Amino acid sequence: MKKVVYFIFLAMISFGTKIYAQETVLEKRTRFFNNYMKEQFPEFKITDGEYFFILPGGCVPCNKAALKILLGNTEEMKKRFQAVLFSQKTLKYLSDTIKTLHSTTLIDTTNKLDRMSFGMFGIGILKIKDQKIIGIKNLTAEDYKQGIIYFLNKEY
Amino acid sequence: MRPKLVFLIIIQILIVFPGRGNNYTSSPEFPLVPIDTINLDFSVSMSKSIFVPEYYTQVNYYFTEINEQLYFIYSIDSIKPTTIFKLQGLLTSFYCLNKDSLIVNYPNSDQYLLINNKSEIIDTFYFDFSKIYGEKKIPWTFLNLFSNKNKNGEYFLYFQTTIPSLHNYQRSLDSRIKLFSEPILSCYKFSGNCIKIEKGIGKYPDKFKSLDGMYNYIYHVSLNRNLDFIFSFYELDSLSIYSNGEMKSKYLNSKFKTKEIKYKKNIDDYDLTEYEENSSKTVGYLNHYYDSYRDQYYIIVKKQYPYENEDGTYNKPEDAPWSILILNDKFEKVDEIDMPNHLRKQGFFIVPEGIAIQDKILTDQNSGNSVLVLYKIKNYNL
Repeated sequence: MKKVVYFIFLAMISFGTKIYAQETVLEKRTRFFNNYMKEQFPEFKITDGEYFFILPGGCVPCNKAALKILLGNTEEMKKRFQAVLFSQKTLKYLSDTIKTLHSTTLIDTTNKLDRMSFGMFGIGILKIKDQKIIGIKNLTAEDYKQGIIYFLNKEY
Repeated sequence: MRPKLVFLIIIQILIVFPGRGNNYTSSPEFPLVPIDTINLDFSVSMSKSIFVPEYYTQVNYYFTEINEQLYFIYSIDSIKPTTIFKLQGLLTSFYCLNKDSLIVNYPNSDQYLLINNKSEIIDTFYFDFSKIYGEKKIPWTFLNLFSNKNKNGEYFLYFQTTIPSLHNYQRSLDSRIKLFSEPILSCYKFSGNCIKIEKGIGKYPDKFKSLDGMYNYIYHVSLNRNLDFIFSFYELDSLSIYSNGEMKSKYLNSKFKTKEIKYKKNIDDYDLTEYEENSSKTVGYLNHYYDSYRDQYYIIVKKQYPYENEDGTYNKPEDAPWSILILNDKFEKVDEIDMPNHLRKQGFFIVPEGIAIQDKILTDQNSGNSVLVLYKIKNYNL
């Protein structure tokens, strides 16, 4: 009988391992994102839509130039995105004006955002539906060459 | 409970609950002896430490930004500035002739500005590299740039001109063969107010001309006292040495590298996170330096590290654990020092007293202004 119990126990652990291994990249990033938002912005309710991120890395001159353009279109930003997220550290190296990109700017004072594994770098957009990430895109130098509108309209 | 079963359960538990990430500290027996601390009033970035034949000694150069103003700093036998060049903004490329002359090119311009040690523009000239190399390739002087002056006062500049957009070359064998059949380094003559292509130098290792690997295709070069160029490659266990018109190869091996680098198929070249995650699983030769005071070489080895942590954060490549592999003047491995993680492998300088490395903890405590620790290093040729 003891042997059977041990066997079931081992089988359960193995099964657990298998489930963990089957988590897709998007599911994993969703888990990280939801936990992060709960921890850093507990008051904020995640709704369906797109979230605009300003993170370290990527093509820095492209990011700076793209932000300049977007700062001239804040009404569009407000209409399109649910929120704009960046860290205190980002605010230090970019102008304070990025706070005006959107009426809902979530600033991470702990700078943990810059190290979150959401699959994003530089300027990134997350698309959320039913509390799940369904799309991720990042502004690359190639995108920037084709224009910021191209990037915004580019498929996930 | 039978011991065999207990053992099996322990193994299963270890599979389900692996060790925590980010636990990669270096060995406690760190052999380098600190002899001084250098506090700078600014933060250094994109630094290089090279041998400059014109002065027949070591030069450290780097960029810095102070109150949103960019500067290029040139330091002979030191880290503290010999010359400070004030820049108008981000550069596309730069060509440093010596401590008194810098040529700069700003984005979207064919105009090259020659500036002096007072940051005054003393000449302007035009050069269209795209006419020679095509739109996709631009001179890339940020990683590898050397200058040498001949008896007539003409300067020879050596730099990379074959940096392609990897996306266009990665997938096609024909394109790779064509691109990497070009010389690995180019030499340009600068005289009067003109840059002219002089000759190509050396060749890429054959591995570049295959579709297998070389995902990290960026290489690093040093110039030694004999005016040999030494090339190192992230993925290859060998150095290429260009000496007297010939290319030789020398075996290189880090004690931390136990297997060949393999990247997964169909990697998205533009996805920085995918690139970094793949790189975290490899041990690679990141960069190397020639120490002209001691006639020896330091190869920076990036070790493997866990990419993601349990809390959803990731570890950046710049924080990856590392070691310094040391080669003597005959390119023989003489030591490999496991480096502590509070030292920044990108902030590496060579000065007469030893090697100076940026300390991340001390830098943070100094409001982000770089703090370097100077370590005594032995001459392995004695």
